[in-house]
Amino acid sequence: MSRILLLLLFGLPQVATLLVAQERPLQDLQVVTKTIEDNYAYTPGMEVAVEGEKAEIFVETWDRAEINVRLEMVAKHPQIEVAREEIENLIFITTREGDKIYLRNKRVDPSKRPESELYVYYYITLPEECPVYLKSHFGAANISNLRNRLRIFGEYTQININNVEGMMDINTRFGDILGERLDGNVFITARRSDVELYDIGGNFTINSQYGELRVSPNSQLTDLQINADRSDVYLIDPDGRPLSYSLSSTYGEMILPDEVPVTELESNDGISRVRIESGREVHGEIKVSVSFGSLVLEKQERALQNGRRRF
Amino acid sequence: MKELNRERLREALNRLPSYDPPKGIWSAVISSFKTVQQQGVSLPEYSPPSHVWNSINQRLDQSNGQQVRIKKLRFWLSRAAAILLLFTVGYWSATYEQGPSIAIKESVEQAPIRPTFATFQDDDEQSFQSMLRELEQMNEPVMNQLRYELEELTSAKYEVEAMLVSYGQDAQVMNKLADIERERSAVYRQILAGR
Repeated sequence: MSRILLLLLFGLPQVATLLVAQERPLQDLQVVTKTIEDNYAYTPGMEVAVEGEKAEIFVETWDRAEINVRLEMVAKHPQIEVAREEIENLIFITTREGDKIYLRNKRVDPSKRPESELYVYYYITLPEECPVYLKSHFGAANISNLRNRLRIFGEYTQININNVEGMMDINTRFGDILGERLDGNVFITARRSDVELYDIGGNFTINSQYGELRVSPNSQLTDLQINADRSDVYLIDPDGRPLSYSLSSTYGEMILPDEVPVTELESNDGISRVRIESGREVHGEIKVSVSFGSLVLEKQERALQNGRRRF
Repeated sequence: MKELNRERLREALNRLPSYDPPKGIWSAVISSFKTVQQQGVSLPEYSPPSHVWNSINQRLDQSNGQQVRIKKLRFWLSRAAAILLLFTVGYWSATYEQGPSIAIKESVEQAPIRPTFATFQDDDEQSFQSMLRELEQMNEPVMNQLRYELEELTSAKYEVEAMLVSYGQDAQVMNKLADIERERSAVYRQILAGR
């Protein structure tokens, strides 16, 4: 009886009422935008480190030996006086230590509860060989066209990476990753985050817990290793011809196309291991291990966007 | 040389008679000198020996060499200083950072229609907490796993709520909270089904 009561209490009706759209009279919002812009001369060996708090970060490249940082802090409220006052609680800190440039935003008084909606945007333009480190707590990170080293530590942060080469080390929690045209040595750790990677080459190691992975390699892929726990993994082959796979599933489901020749290696007690030989000349090897989740091999349906994107 | 009888000598000298020259003697001497100059009386000339001039020449040559070296040193020092100055100015201008520019802009925009957001009520949260305590006492592997999941999601829920308080009602953050609440609800249903 108590179980039924609890189900009624916490079940579907509760979830369904989480988001309730209510009509409210439209009103004007007074918007105060504080823009801070700074330039740094770039010399090889420099690194840019950003620590964003509820900030949307855009990183782009150009061919100048210069680093440009533009920060926008925005306060929105129906009353302009409130917006003006509350934007002053946001602060932007820049520190230069040797070859490292640290950029950070925070609240002056963390205990203050604003009535305004507060937003922070970073627009960073730098040479493509400049290493970047991003630490983001809530918000988003959009990075494109880098060629050296990219490290990201994100929490509750949507991470978008496009056309990036080199060493990448990405650690995310409660924040999804969307990556396209990535090449290099890449290490991704994702917890409670969905990861979508298209057109990837090089060496990839992906550890995932409680998420969904969609991975589409290109012919330049040399090594891909996925360890997924309580995650669903979708391996997408853009050519329709499979690469070489070693697949392992523990207490999960493995869905493979009928036309693919599969060599079964193990199948007992909830454990299933198969081998799929390559249908074409590739050097790479894909090893996937999934526990308590689905492992699906399928064709790519979504077309990739081409060309450079700028903010 | 030391005088042994100093006092006696002084006494003897004091006793010597003194004489003044006759008046006009000095003016006569001066006029006689003038006469000699006016008449062009030439004094005898002597030529120094040749080794004296050679010695002087040699010394002059040596001092000229030193001067040349000093001049060269000054020449290169001035150019080095100029190059250093140019390099310093160039490096400074290349690496000069003006510091940030700050601008404030005010505008007006129409407020978007936002959903009002309802999280679980306090009573529900208390039930969650009592459920967690119950699972802890059960100490059963599957339930422990679900308990950890529920604890992680509840902790995440608090973090997201804190962000909504700190930065206002952002739609993206609210969506994140909705996702977490859905996951919490799913885990809770698994716990209920497995008890």
